[in-house]
Amino acid sequence: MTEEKKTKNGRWRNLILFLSLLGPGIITANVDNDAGGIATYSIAGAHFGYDLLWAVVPVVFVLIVVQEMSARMGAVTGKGLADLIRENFGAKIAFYAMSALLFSNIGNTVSEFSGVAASLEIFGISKYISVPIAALLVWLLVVKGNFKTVEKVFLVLCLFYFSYVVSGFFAKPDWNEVALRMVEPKFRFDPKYLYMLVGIIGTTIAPWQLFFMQSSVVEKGIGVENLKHSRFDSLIGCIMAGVVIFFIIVACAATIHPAGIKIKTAADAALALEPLAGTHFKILFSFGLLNASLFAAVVLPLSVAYYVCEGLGFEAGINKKFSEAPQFYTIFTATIIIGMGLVLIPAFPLFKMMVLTQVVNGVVLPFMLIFMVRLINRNEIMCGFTNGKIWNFVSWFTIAAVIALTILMFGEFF
Amino acid sequence: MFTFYTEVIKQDVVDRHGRFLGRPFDFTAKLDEAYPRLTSLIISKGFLRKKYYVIPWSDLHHAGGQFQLKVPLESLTTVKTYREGAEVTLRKNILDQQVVDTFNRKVVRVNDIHLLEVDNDLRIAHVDVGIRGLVRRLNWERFIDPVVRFFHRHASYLTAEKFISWKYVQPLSIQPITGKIQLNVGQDQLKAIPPPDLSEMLMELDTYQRAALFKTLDPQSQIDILTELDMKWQRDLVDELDPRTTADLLERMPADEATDLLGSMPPRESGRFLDMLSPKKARELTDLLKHEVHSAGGLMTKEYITLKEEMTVNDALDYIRNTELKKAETIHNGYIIDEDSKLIGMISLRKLLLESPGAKLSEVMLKKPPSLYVKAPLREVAELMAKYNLFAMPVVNEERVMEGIITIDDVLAVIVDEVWGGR
Repeated sequence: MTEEKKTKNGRWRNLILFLSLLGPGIITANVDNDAGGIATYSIAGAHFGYDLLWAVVPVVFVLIVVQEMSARMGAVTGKGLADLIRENFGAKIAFYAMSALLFSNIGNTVSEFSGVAASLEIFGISKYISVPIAALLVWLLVVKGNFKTVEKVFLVLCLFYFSYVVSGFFAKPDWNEVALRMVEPKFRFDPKYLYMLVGIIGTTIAPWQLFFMQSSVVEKGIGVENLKHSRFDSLIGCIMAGVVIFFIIVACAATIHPAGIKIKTAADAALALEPLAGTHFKILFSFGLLNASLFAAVVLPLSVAYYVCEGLGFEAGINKKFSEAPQFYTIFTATIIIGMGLVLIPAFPLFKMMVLTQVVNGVVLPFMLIFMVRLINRNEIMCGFTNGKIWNFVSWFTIAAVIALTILMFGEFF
Repeated sequence: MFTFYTEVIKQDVVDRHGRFLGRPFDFTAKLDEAYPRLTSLIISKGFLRKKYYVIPWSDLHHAGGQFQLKVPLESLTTVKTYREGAEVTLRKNILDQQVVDTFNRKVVRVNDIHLLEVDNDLRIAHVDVGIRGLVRRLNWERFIDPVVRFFHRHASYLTAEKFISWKYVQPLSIQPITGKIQLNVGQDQLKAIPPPDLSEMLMELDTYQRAALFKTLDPQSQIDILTELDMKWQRDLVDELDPRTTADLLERMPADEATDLLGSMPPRESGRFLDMLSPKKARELTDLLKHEVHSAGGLMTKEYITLKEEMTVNDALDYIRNTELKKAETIHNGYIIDEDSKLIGMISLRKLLLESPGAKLSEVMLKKPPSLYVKAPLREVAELMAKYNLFAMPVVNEERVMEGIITIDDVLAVIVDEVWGGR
């Protein structure tokens, strides 16, 4: 009796501990399905049907590996990635890395705000109203909220991603074919197909994600002793993200693909869905896009301001006054204003901007991953928690894949 | 003459005949002087598998913008790692690292090191934490300085160097052998920092640095800092200490804070610590642990002044002066109890000082003072303390036997946490 009670207590304790550590992995993996990501998955489903569905598996695997490395580095060193880069590679490299990160994040913020604009325009709200309100909302949440409440809001937002799962079911896909395509991938050596494939892998990991994941783990005070729970949290997040990707592709493959419509953005997908599958479908899809864009728009400007200041040794923190941390506030506010401003310029080539952002991401990401892999293999930093062979192989493979994607993208862009 | 690390590493290292050998890769320094002397120069060889020449300063001659060896190169051997036990290296331990600026009470990142050249020696004089130091590191000084000068001749960028004198710098590099932070010489600066500031600075460090810096402090500062921190961080720091030290801290901590800390531990762990405490303290803490965390009993402390009603004002003052003051956290009020320890009166220190010395306490005390029931919830505690405008309030049980007192700071801490959340 007492024995049983004890193990039951132990199990409860474990569950409570896990719940208290829950967060960083789930949030990071989900924020990653932002406006750009959703566009890529929609296009993959719309143009290639179920052919690219199998890619979800390697994508989730790569996500798991990368996020686990971030969690481990955060837990073992108790430092953010920007700190580690500065301390181990010196001021010069840190400065250029942070500049690149800043540039790529401003681009990403633009694409998040244009996601907000596009999704609400579907509901007939002008972007000149929606985008400034969204920007203000982002500002307020960050400046007025504290870490605990913001994290709770984030965890709730993660649940809204399931609107894509619902729409996946609404699309009434041919489940037999879905299952068949998952176990028996249709691999083609067609350049467009390969381009899309690498695109999916590339958009799933963004440069800022590595920094965000690691800092969240540090901020939560997760140490080596809780690494097991943190890994599990990250695993759940990656699988959630994978499920959402899966259903976006399924929804578009079941409806848009047979109709043969070509789409360019996530909002295109939502609009194309209406005549094919009904209004509720359009609503679900645009709501999902709005949620994803807003979510990422909250995370990006703040996080980049933190990392840049951390890496360059400026004071940072929302609890400081402007005069105490001028660089921090300048970067944070400028990112939001640029993001908002570019979207509001009439006839601004937004789509080109989004592609350019993807290219910049692609250029920056391999460097960040290389920093990370090199740091995580240094025993003096990781104290016995360095990478195993498989993890190193996956990391270098990802780096190679992203470089390949970027070269392809360059060809497309110019 | 002053120079910068950034400048020095650009200079050539040559052998006795003036042949170029390389450029300095790093320097080591010994922190046993107020302005530490550099003790050796390191040159690296190879790219992937680096090897290092460690050249002691006595074998070097520094003049005319170059380092010249006094001994033949062949007499030097290469090593794979060069950090010696008691020394720090500029590149790994100071440059680009976080250090504590004990003068401005901040954690800062070092952009460059300002060196003083005296005779043949280089000494660490300042660390540069300004933007100009960063620009110098990037090698952009040549472009940015003229541009700034063109627009604003006396811009603060050019005139106000952000240097911190080395005597105010506490490096945070952890010695691999001892696992401790090597204290800067003459480092009494840390002690001069008020505990709330110091605990805020600790939060900016990583786990290892936090623990290592914490360990260098004396027990009283450790207690002051612990009680400033959120429970989660208290636990983290305590976990880094050995059990004996933790027990010592618990022994000396205010009882209410010690109870909170023990209460946050799993029962087995807190039991182990209770066994290590003195019997008296252990009994006191065990009593306190029984109460709900956010009730009057959980918030109260057992350290307060008790007086007897037959004492005169003079007796009471003597008593406070001689015995009670040492352990009581708050001496705003004295509490008068009867032989059954029941609370019968209260007198403020102010009143004691103003009354005539011969008066009996029973005549001057406030009879039936406002008190809190031991199971009263936080809200009631706060409301009553606000109502009576008291800094401290006695806590009693069902039989009006005095159990402890609650001080306003402990209530305030909980309320701040409830209203505005943790940091």
